[in-house]
Amino acid sequence: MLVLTRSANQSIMIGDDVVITVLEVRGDHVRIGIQAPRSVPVYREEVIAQLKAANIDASSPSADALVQLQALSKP
Amino acid sequence: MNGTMQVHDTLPVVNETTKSADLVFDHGIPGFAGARRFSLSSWGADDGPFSLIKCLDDATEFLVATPEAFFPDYHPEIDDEVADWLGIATPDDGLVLVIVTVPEQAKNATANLLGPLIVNRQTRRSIQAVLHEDFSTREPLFQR
Repeated sequence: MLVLTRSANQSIMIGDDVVITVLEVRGDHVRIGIQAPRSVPVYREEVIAQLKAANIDASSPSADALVQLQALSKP
Repeated sequence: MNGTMQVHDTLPVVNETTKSADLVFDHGIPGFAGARRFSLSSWGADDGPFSLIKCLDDATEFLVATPEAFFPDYHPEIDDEVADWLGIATPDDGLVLVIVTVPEQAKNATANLLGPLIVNRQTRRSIQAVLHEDFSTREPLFQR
């Protein structure tokens, strides 16, 4: 991992068109501005991790649970 | 398209004979990067909210549901770039499905509202979108 030290209002460029700017440092929190082309999706890492975990939990439900669900969803 | 996506029917039955349709996730699904092609088939009651998607590349399958049966106020907004990538020009072009987690106690089933599956009804190009709104990945399906 590349490690750089930046202060507030200093930026990092990734490639030609992604600019990450440190806006504010306050205690444990850092406010970051991200300028990127609309084609580059930007997500919080924990959101993707959450989605992965939910997908893994949801994958291939057990036959027994599905039978129960079918009974529950009958009108 | 930042409009509200709504689903007006229950199943994107592309092949009326087999009642199934192939969905193509070129970006994979988070946690299942290699899972690209899925067959979609009805599950449960004929006109019910559930479908099963089965991966054609490995053995993974997911139970999915049309969200409006359980969450009538759920109207996910997807990014313009995602809509463009899917080739969706109007909300009617897209089908929204949510992945359902069915634990051992099925009454505790949950739906992933944060990452809905969006399907182009015509081309069946599909993606698991990541919404920017504050939705849960584990919203209870049934009232407790």
